Amino acid sequence: MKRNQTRMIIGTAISAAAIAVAIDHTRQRLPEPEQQLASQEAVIIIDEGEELPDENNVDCGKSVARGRRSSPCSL
Amino acid sequence: MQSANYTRSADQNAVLAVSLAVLGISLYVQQFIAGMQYLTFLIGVGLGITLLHAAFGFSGGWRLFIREQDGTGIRAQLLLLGITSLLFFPILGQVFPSIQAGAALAPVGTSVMVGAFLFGIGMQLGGGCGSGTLYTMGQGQVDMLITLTFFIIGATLGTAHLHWWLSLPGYGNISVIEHFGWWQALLLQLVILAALYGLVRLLEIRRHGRINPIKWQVPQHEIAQRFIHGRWPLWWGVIGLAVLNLATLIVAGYPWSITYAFGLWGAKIWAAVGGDPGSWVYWGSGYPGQSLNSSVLEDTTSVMDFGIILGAMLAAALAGKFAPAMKLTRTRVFTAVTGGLLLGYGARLGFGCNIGALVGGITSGSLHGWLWMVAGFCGGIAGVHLRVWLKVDKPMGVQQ
Repeated sequence: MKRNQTRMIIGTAISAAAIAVAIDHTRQRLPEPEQQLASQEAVIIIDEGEELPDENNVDCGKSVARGRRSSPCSL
Repeated sequence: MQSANYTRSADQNAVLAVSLAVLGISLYVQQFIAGMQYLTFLIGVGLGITLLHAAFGFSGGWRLFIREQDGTGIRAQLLLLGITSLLFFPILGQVFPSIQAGAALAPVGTSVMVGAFLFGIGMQLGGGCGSGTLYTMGQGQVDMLITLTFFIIGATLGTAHLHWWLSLPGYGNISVIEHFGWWQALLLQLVILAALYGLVRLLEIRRHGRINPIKWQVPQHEIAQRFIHGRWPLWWGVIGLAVLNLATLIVAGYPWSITYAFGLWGAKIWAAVGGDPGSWVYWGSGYPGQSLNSSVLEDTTSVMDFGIILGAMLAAALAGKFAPAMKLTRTRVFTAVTGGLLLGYGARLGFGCNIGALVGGITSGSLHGWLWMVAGFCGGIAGVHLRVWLKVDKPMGVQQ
């Protein structure tokens, strides 16, 4: 396989992947501004002494307790 | 003179195109995706450059050691594990409470053992590990594009079956940091890594009468050129990967991982052609369910993987090695397909690949990382023998 052929194949694959990412990105419904605002304002209040959520049931250790987005860690 | 040669060998059109793509994606992600996703993309670019310029791979290193007891690659990997553990353990042990990060914990059980063994075979047949497949594909190797395609299919199949594998005997998550305390666990881990390093060195000396040093020095006048155009001494690769993995831990909140994204891409493609992966146990809830229904640009692992591919492309273009001419035989297509399937399926069962499970697991104190290392290496031995059987490599004992 000559260099020009490999460049064409890789270029086509990357372009197809870029188009797929763009389609996926635009297909997902983005949250409405009001919903987004509401979710940003939501606060989980955990009283002193109350048990924290079970860490085994969250995605990555302390992600819920520390308020970060959940993560694909160990998935 | 040397500088002119380096510049002349660079593929300037590709350098320009990839640089513009990196800039454009960074700006888009920074503008439209919440959080620090653009930073994780740029860390991915850095990882791709480091992997390619240092030619840092796991499959080749394991194969050289299994065939010829040349332990250079394995010793570099052990150094990477030691240095990254030194950086990770204090953070995960809450020495710096302002840095909030989680370990790559996963169950120690049958699923990891079988998955890592299959992955080890797949590494040798497919011609790359998790990181290796991404960066060699980014370099423009067409055979690795086939491996990556079937890696994605295998990972997607793995997500369909994982719940069954998890019902087999196992022990759950075991963190040595929680069990022993961070510094005691670190000390124990460094002792074990040093013992393994010594063992590899001993076997190498016994076979060859000397060891290949892991290089770090380059002539003074070549430092800048080598930094930009490669090739980097292996030590630069070790340091680069450790520092960028630390950056991932700090920015993303968990260690560098690769293969989760492959299952996600496969599930999204399956959904796009009319399938319903959302009805599978794996994609039904939690983070997987959330990521399946969000933009792929919201998934940190995917964004980092895109960065690695583009980083490797940029580095290959700078080195004048982008899209090399190659011979694609029928055997190579067969090994790329079967290797890719085993890599994907194994990575899902093993809770990650050589990066997410082996490096991420071990350096963040999860016992599953050690089980992965042993089972994966056993799979590697089987894979090396399969390569001989398939006549990809010369018989054992005959130098390649």
